Amino acid sequence: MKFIAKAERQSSKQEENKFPEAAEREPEISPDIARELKQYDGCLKAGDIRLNSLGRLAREFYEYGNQQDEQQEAKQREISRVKFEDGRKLKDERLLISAQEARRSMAGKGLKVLNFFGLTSSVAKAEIVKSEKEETEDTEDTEDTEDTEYTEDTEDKEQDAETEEKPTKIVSVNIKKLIDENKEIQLSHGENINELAEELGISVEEAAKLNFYRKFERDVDGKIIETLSRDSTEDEQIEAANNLIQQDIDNIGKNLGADLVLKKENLEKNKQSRESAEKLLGRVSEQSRDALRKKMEDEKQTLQNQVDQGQNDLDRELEKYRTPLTIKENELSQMIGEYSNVFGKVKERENFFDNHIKELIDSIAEARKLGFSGDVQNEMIQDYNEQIKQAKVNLAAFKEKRVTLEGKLKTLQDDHREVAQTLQKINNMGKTKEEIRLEEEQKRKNEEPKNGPAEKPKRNEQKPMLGQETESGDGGDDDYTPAERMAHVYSEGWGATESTTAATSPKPKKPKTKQAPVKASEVSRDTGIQKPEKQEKIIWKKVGEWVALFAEHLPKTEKNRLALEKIFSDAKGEYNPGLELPSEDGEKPANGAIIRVRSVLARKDSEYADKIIKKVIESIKE
Amino acid sequence: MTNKQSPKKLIEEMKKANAEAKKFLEEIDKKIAELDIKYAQLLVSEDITTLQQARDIILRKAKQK
Repeated sequence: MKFIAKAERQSSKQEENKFPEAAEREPEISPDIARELKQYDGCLKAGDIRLNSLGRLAREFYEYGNQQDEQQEAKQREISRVKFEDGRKLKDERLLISAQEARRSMAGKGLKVLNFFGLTSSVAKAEIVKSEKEETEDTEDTEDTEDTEYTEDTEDKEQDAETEEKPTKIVSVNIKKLIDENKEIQLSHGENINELAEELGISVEEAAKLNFYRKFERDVDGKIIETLSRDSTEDEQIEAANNLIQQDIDNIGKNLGADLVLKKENLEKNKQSRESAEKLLGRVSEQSRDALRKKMEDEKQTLQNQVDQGQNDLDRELEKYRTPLTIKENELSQMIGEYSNVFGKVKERENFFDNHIKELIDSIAEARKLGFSGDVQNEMIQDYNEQIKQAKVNLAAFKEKRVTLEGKLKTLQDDHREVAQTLQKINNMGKTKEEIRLEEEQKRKNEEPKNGPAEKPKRNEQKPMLGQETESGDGGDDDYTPAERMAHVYSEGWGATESTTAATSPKPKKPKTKQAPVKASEVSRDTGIQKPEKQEKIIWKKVGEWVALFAEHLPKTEKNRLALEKIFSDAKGEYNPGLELPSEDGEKPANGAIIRVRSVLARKDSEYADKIIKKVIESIKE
Repeated sequence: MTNKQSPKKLIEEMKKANAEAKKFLEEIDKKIAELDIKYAQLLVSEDITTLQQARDIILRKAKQK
């Protein structure tokens, strides 16, 4: 069995030490931003760890898949049974309570939830506006308890000193002082957390793990505002990150994109003016004519330069989003293709059992009608019934698999559609209405022949897709053993690319070129699924070649060389579903590794990272 | 297709399919598990990219201030 072993990754700490020459000191940042960055770093580290675990799991899966003895086969079956109802669930394991539950809990207690999924802040907040009376009471309380005022340090010490059995002593809060010093109370243990858990209607354990803070401030009227906040969970952080990125993309469109459109319109207006002026030039002297023409040409060139500059600026800004999105779109398409192939075969088996059961039941009824009797006939009918019983069990199993796969495909298709829409939005930035109209018209023209009757695939060539009925029992395939059938399934069919074929066929060939990221314009509007025939080629290189290519553009140090070798050697098909494992001579797909290099470089300086990647891409084009 | 096939052929096909079903389902399970791991890897990688991009935006804005 061919399988992609995801490279085990270095810990983020180790990776931070890679490419030290690219490091740049981060600017002075406010405590709020520092806190937010810290949260991002925490999530990135968690992501690295999770990717590591998945890499190990994939490798283990692959290793056991190649073993023959019973014990190891059993181990592989065990791994197969890992409950991957959906890849997404792996991400959700870490959540103690979902964000929605937390929000409901908070809202249910009459707390006003603010900025829960803030666009620029990932810190969840709830706010209570205290009444005048409460304010007085709080203030009085604090005045009485100044000696035992709360600080984070004392809390930590208390926590260290106390065992779990002995509750931490009640810490009174000097609200006035907290306001003056702009401090927060961390509500992670002690009486504070008990009160909070009761207040929010969640368990103490949940409240403690969610790491709440309480902060007091005065509003413009002098009323005390109590703000309850907590560090975001990873899902919230990712959602906040996505919002931030969408906002950034929109801003690029509103600024650089709109600017470019304006420049293009100016150029177009200039063209029209020149055409009108040209008609009038016959009336002026030759000398004046030449001077006017030169002036018009200069104007045109200036405007053209402005357009070119605007396009470069826009492309540079969008590239950091366009490339990962294009790769993701391509990878999702491959995943959809691979799941679709499995879905098609499952559906085919389901149909086979369904039809055969009905037909056998009819046959038995017919035999009975004809009055067959005797031991031979009875034995035959008994045999039929046994087979039908077994077939019904199998039918149920295939049906269950088909429903599971439908759910997965739906999720993938939704993801794909979303990515395609974002890419389309990005690709339309900086284009005039006329340019967009012409592109759409061209796209329609390109699609027309495909939809014509002559281009329709033959019935037995139709590829299995979600919700599509497939022919069953049509001969051919039924002579295959399951293993042969699986190999056949994965090497044929809709969405199967060179890479998937190479990965799953019994004797894969080494492809020299791979399919390239597919443009958003090549994605079907109805399904959000790319058409394989429109795919282009991407570059394949050996590990050594990739390393040399990058090394050319990075400071030539041993550390950098080793870091690059590690990334490219570890790639082993990373981010390239369906690619074969590297062979001894090491020809490997590397676009996933390229992203990894960019990611490592970008940890210190994203502009530097983009510059290096751009240089490498230019070298490849050359 | 199986229409108008003789009962004997039907039962032979059914027996063969029943015999192969278990192994076929096991292979399907294995393939689904493999794809699920790949999908999970894709999602986690995507999360890392997203977080890194957002972090870059925050840093860039901090630099601009």
